[in-house]
Amino acid sequence: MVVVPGRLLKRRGVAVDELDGAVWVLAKGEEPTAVPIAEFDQLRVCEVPGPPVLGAAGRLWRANNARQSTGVKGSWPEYTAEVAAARFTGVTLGRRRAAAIDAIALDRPAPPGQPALTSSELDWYQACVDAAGPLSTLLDRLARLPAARYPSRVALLLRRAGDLMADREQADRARTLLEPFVEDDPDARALYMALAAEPVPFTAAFVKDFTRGLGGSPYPEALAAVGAAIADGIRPAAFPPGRAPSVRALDAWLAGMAGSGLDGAVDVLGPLSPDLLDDLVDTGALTRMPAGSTPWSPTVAGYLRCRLEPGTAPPDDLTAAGFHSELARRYFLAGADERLSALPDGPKVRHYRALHAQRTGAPHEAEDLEPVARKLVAAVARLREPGTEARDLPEVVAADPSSWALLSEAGLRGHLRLDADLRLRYPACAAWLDLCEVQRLVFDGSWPEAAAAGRALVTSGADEAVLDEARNMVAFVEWQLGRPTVAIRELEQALAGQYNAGLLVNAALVAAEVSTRSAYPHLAAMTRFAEDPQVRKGAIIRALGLWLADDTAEEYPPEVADMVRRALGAPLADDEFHRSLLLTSVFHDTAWLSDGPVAASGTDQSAALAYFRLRARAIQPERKEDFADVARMLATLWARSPRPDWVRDQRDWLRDLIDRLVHRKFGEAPGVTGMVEALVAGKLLELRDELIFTAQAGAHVAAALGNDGDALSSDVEHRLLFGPVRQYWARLTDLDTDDVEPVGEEIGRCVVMSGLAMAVFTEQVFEKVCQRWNELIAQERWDVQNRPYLRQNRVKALDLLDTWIGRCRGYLTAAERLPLSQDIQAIRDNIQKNIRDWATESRRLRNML
Amino acid sequence: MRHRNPYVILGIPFGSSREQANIAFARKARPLRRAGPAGREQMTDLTWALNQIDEGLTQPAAAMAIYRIPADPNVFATTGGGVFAPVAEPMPRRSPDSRAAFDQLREAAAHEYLRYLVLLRGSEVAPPAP
Repeated sequence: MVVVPGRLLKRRGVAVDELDGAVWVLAKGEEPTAVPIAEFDQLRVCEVPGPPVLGAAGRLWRANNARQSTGVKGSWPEYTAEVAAARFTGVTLGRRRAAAIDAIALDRPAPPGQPALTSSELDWYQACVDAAGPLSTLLDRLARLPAARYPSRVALLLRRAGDLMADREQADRARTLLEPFVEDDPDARALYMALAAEPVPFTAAFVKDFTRGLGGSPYPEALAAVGAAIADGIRPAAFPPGRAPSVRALDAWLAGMAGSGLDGAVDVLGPLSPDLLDDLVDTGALTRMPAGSTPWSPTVAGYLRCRLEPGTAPPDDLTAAGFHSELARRYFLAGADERLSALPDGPKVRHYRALHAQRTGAPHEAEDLEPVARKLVAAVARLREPGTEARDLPEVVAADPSSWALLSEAGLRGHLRLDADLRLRYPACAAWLDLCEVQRLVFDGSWPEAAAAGRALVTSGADEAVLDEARNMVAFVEWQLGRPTVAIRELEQALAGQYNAGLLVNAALVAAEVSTRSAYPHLAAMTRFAEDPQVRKGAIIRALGLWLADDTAEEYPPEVADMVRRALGAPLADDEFHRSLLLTSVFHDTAWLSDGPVAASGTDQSAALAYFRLRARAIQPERKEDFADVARMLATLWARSPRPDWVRDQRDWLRDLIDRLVHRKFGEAPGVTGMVEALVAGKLLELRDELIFTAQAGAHVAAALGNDGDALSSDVEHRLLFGPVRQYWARLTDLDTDDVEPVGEEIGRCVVMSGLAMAVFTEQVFEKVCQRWNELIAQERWDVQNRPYLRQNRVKALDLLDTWIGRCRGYLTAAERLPLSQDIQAIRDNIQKNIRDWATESRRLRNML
Repeated sequence: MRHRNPYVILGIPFGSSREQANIAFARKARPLRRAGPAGREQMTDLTWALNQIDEGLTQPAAAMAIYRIPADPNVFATTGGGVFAPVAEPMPRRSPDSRAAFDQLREAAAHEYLRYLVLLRGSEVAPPAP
C-alpha cells in the first residue's frame, strides 16, 4: 500500500500489477493507474496491519482486510482488488502455495485452485501459522501429518518445550509425534527424553553426548562439563538455574561420601532414597535429624530417626521400621511386661524379656541374656545374697554403673568393698561406694568419722554430683556439732556450679541458725530454680515463717517481698497458696499489690485477685476506693454459685473488723455505715449482727453529727435506728434465745444515745427559739403595724421547736420495751424530763399568742 | 542429736516412704527392746521419728525444716548406661547396596539437566519456514 498524490487530495492505493515498466496502482475508481517504477519507488509506503503474508494475493487480501476490520482509510474498490488477487492465486505452483498459506493466515476461504495442494500441506501450513497458538490445536494439526514426514515439526515442538513440560497430557502427545525422529535428530531425542514423566534409561549418557554436540555459541562450554560430570558420577562444577533438586542432591551425596558433613544441608537431601541416606549415615556425613520439618516423606523420616536418634524416635516410627530391639529396650525400662511379651521374637527381644524377668524375679532362661549381662546378673545376685560379711565387687559390676543402684542397700550397710586395683581403674565406682560409706556413718551418728570420710571423698576429684553430696553430708555433721558457719561454707561450695533443690533447702536451714536474713538468698534461689512447684511453695512459706518468727525483724524484708512478688507474677496452680500470698501482700506490700503485675489462673484466682487488690487500695487514704467498695465486692462474690470457700472467711474478717470499729466511743466510726449497709443488702450478716451493726452505725452517725452541731436526717434515722428496732420486734423469734436480751440492750443503747444527740440538738433549737421569741416580742412593742406578721413568726418558731420535740419523742417511743441498762435508763429519763420541760414551755408560750 | 531429723534417726534417705520408715523402725527397734533402760531413750527418738514421717510429712518435697540426706535423691541411683539401664543403639542399616539407587539418582539428575538444556535449545532454534 502506498500514498498516491492526487489533484486535490492524497489517497492510499494498492499495487495490483507490474507491467511495461510501470506499477499499476488501484486508488480510486475501477481502473488502476500506471505509475512508473522510478516514481513508484519514491512513493511513501504504508504499513498494513495483519499477519505476515507470502504472496501478491495475500498482500491484496490483507489490504482489503485492513480496511474492513481495522479502519485503514482507502478508496479503492475492494472487489477490483479481489479480482486482481485472484489472478495471482493460480499462476504457478509457488503462487498457489503462497496464496493457500496466506488465506490460512488471513482466515479466508481457500482460494480457487486449492485442490492442487494436499491436505498434509494445508495442515502443515496451518500448523506453522498456529505455532504460537493453543498447544492442543498445534498438536492436533501435527497429528494429522504423515508420521515420519515434516521433520521440521521438531523445531515447532522444541520452541514450545516449556509449555509441554508444564502439561503432562500434551507432553505425552508430543512424545508420540517425536518418536519417528528420535533416531536421527538429537533435538527430537532430547525433547522426547525431557518430556518423559520419569527419567528414561541412558538419559545420563545421552546428556553427555547432547551437550557435547551443543558446543560453541550461543551455548557456554560449561554446559558440556556439567552434563559430563552428571553422567560420570562426579560433582558438577555448576548447577542449572532454578531448583534442580536431583542435581543438587547428587552433588550433596557425592560431597558427603567424600567426607563433608551434611547436617547443615539437609534441605537438599530430599530426593535421596533410603539406600543413599544410609550411605551418608554410615560415612558420618549425616549425624542428626533436623529440628522441625524434614525434606523426606514421613516413612523415610521415621526410618532415619531410627538410625540417627533411636532414643527419641516415636514408637510409631520404631514399629513402622520394625525396630523391635529399641521397642524392647523401652518396654524393659518401663517395666511393660505385656508389651515386651507381644513383640516379635528375636535375640534382643529375648534378652530384654529375660532381663525383665530377672528383675521381677520371674523364671527365665539365663541363656537368653547376652553374655555380658549374664555375667553381671550372676554377680549382682551373689552380692545381694543375705549376710553381713563384706564382699568384694567384681570388675563386671565396677564397670557397669547401672548395676550399682541394685546394690545400694548393701553399699549403705558397708557390706561392699572394692580392691585397690579396681578403685584405680573405676574411680566412679569407688566414689559411689565411698559416698555410701559416708552416708552410713552419718546415719550411725558417727560424726567425726563421717566428716573425715566425707572430706576425703571431696578431695578425690570424683563427679560433681558425688562431691556435692559428700559436702552436703559433711555440712550436716558440722551443723550437728554446733558449727553452722563451717557447715554453711561446705554447702556454699556444693552450691557452686551445678546444684539441686536439696542443697538449697539445707543451706537455708543452716543459714537460718546464723541469721534469718542469710537464709533468704537460698530460699529465693529455690523459688527461681526449683522445678517442683511444691518446693517453690515450701521455700516461700519457709521464708515467711522465718520472718514472722524473727523477733528482731521489723519491716517486711525486701527478699521475702521479692519472692512473694515473683511467685504471684507467674501462674500458680494452687488457689489456696495464691490467696495466701495475696493476703500477705495486702498486709505487708499494699502499694505493690494495688497495681503490681499479678497472674491469675481461672475464675477463682481472678476473683481473689480483684478482691484483695481492692482491699489493698482501700487501705491507702490517697486512693478513691474504700471499705464500702470492699464490702460491695464481697457481697457480689457472696452471691456467686457456687460460692468460693474463702469468701466466707473474708466475710468473717470484715464482720470482725466492723465489730471492733463500732464498739468504741459513739461518733468515732460513722464510716462503717457504707460497709454495714452493703453487707446487709447482700445478706452477708446474721440477724444478730445485722441489727446491732445497723443500729451502731446509726448511733455513730448521730453522735458524729451531734459533735458538729447537726442532727440525723429523718430518713437516715429511720433506716439505721428505727428500722432495726422494728426488725428486732418483728423477728424476735428468729434470734437465738440467748441473743434476744443482749441484742435488744445493744439496740436500745444505740437508740437512746442517738436520742441523747437529738436532745442536745433540740436543746440548742430551744435556746434559739427562746431568743427569737424574745426578739419578736421586743419588736412587737414598737413595730405595731407588723404585729400580725411578727405574731406569725412566733408561731413558726414554736412550731419548729415542737417538731424537734416530736423527733426526740420518737427515740423514746422506739426505746420503749427495749431492755436498757441502768445508766442508759438514766439517760433516757433525763431526755424524757427535758422533753417535758420543752413541751411545757412551748405550751405556755403558745398560750401567750 | 542436736537437730533432730526423723530420716537420719531411722537411717533412711530423706523422702523415704512410710513403708520404708516402718521397716527401718522395726529393724532399729528390735535390738533396743533387749537393751533395757539404755535403749528406752533411743526408742523414744525412733518413735518420734516414725510419727513424724507417718503423720507430719505428707509432702516431703515441700518440707523446708528438715536437713536432706541425701540432698540429691538420685545420687545413689543409676548414673550411667549399662546392662540395667541400656542406652539406645542406632538401628542397623536396612537397605542393600546403593549402586542401583545411585544410578537412579544420576539418571534423575541428568533428566533434570536435560530439561534445562531443552528449554535453552528451544529458545534458540529458529521457527521453520512453512
